[in-house]
Amino acid sequence: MNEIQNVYEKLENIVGTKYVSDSEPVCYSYSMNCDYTLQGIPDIVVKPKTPEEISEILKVANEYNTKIIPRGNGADLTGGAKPIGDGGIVLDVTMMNKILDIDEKNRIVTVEVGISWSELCEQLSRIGVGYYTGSTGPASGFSATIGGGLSNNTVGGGGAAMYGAVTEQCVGLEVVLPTGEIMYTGAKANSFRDKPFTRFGLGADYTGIFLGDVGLHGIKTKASLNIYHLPEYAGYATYQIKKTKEKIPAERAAEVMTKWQHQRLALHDFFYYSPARVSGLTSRGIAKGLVNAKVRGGTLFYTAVGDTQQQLDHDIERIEKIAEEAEFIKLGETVEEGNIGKWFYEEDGRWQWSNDSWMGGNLFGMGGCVKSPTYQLPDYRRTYDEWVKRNFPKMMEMGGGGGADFVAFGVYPSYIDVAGGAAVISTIKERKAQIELWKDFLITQIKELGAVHYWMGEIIGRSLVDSGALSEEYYNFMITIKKALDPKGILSPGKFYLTDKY
Amino acid sequence: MVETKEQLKNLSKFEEAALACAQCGQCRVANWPSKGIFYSCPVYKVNRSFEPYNARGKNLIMKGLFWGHLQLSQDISDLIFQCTLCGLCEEICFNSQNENFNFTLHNIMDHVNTFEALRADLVEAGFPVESQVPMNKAMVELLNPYEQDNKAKLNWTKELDFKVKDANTEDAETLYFVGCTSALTPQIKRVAIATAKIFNKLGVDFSVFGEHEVCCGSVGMRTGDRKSFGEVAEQNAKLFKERGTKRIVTSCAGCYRTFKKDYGENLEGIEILHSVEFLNNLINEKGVELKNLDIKTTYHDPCHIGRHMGLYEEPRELLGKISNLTEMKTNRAGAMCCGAGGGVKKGFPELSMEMARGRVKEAGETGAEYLVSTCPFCWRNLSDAIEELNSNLKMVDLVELLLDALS
Repeated sequence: MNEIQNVYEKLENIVGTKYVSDSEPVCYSYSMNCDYTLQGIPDIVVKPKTPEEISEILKVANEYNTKIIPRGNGADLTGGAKPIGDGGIVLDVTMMNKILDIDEKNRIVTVEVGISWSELCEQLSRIGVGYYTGSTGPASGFSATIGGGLSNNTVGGGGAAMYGAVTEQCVGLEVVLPTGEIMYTGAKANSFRDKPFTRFGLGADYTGIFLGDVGLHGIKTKASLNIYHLPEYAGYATYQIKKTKEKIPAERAAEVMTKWQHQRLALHDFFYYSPARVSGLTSRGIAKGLVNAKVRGGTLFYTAVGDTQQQLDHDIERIEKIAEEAEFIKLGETVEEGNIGKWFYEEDGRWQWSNDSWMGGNLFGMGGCVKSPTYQLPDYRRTYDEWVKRNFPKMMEMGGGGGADFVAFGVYPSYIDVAGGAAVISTIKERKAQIELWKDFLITQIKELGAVHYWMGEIIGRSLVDSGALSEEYYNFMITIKKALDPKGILSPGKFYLTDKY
Repeated sequence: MVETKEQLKNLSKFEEAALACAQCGQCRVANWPSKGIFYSCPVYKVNRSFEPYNARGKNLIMKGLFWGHLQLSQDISDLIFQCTLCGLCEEICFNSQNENFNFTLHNIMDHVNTFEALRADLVEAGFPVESQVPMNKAMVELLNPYEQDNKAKLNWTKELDFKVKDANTEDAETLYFVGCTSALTPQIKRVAIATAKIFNKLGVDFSVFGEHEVCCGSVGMRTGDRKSFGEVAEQNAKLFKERGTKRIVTSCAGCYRTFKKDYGENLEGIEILHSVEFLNNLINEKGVELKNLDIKTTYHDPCHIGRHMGLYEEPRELLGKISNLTEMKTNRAGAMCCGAGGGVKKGFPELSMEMARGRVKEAGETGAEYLVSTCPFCWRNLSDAIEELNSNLKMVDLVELLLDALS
């Protein structure tokens, strides 16, 4: 019997036959995330039901020196939840999907991390006066899990302009460390406290080392998040932004977005769509409202919320005054007249605005979402255009055209997420060249824009190292922490090359 | 070794659709209240098992087959067949053909058809689900998949107090295609009896083929046995042509979908209607008065007439007239499947029953007394779950209530 068979038998004893598989097609179906060509086929997939089972699984992985990759829905775009190279165990946490506690007094929900953002928000909406998580996960929140959202520090599912990234809402975790110990972080680390309410107070922010960690430091099993009343009142508007002699639309939008962020306004969301994006949407018949409104140039929409109509009206007046002073053209109030802000908020656009950019078919997406200071938005436009110009011949060699573009949206308190990347028309035969091109795009972002990426999956983590962006001291610090927590380097190995440096 | 791609004769016709998945996973667990979607895969909802138990996993396996990373196998077959082909995944897929999404890149995905095509390739490569093989064999040899003597298909007519025309020898305006489940399942023959009685009351000139009624072939089509499907489809098309059939009305959702969609141009010129559609039109045209039975009902949308064919409102219009209809949490395009379809009841009975239990519980939450459907196969599975759960719900087909409302 070889080692992996021994591992399989041990896992079977831990979780039961039904929840472990080494079937070839099952393992194959865990070899990719939402990214199209990064692929690594695990030997085993396991679906534990409790933190104790996860603890036992990690002990087996340590015993046999087998790599283990935690996974939620696998909805990230840069290889965050799949093996780097073949082999190892994918640990799928989606059996753990219960809401464990809703503390209405403190407005905190505690969940198992395998529940999706859409299911959590749906269930919260039916509790008491109706709640939600404020920032409602990534744009893939229909299916993305809470655990994945926290591991990737996600934004994009609506509410980010008011509540920030989802990690801002996290007040504590239950984590299984790579060596198998189960522990709480945040206030609940005080063993005399029954309910979590803050992340701080018992030393440093140890919750933080598991947030945005792409599964490097431990396996999250439970998370406690702030929740908020569903807003009573909401308002929206969408603006058209044309190019002027002096400024491109991205520059004009950035100025207004910055002003919005510098004032205390009840902005729930604001999104800037580039002219190319608007053109793409209208030419393909997407966003029919924009087509009807014959919009050219960029667009900017906002959604604002309030507890009273008076409060909302007051803030909307201030929000719109800033847009009017910038001479933005306001579109009509209805979705049909181009008000995609209304569509975004009322028709669940928050979880589908980016659907078309996830590709599929013969389009290969090169995810490169970044968090950026708002003022820097025009630089992204220029850099992307230059990169496409430089690489267009390569794209044509791969079988078609391509481009690079973004949507930018506000994140509390004062930055934006430049969501997008590049894409090329291609096929699986071009895999190697596609990945090289993708890496070139990422390194361009890192070097020319000082980009701080959203995801830290395989390709981005490695691009950060390869580009020389991480200082020696910082990188050594990362290695030291990783090695202290995961001495055998079994958990998510290969990301940032950390375990290669032991 | 035969190249895998050469074995994908059926799936190759859908290659573009099969490769179009962006792997976002919305087809697993999405909740979309404003579109009435609460979970997007009934199989995954009950077993939360591995990826191939939802559409994304199946799509990735199809990619693996096209890219030459995987070979057709029994392992793949066992996974691909654990799906009721209900089509709910299509409703939550932004790359598929639905009206829920505003931001779509393309609409080329076609889940049910691609999964059926892969099933056909698996069967042709020698990897069927063993328990489904005798069913398809009987469908061809005995003309029904229940492995019964087809003569029994006339038994239900003995309970009528009027004579039904024999479609083999007598002409009629409407052919009532009873379907194997109603004709041969003792508990469900009441669907056929009620339908015939309503036709009689409303003066519909109809006939039945009785022992010569050939299975529509739905089970063969869903379970990948296209050869068997082709044989019965040919027999039916020939029979209908020979008898000069102008209109087929069936009370079986599976037969309806199969005739209307899978037979394609073979039935060109023949009007095909589900009984609920036919009766709703007739009652409206004739201004027939219906008695309100003063009962509380809830309606289960069969996938074969709902998501696959778009018949959502006709049954509701009728039920609304004769009862107090309360909707389940999931209904119409977002309705949870009963768990019986796609060969799952035959191939994986416990999985099928788990889904049925879930649907019955959902129906129970409405406070209804009657769980109503328009598909004998849904009737059967939901009825089994009602019995197992010792639920107070009464399972009925819409025609049974309609008959009472006409009396």
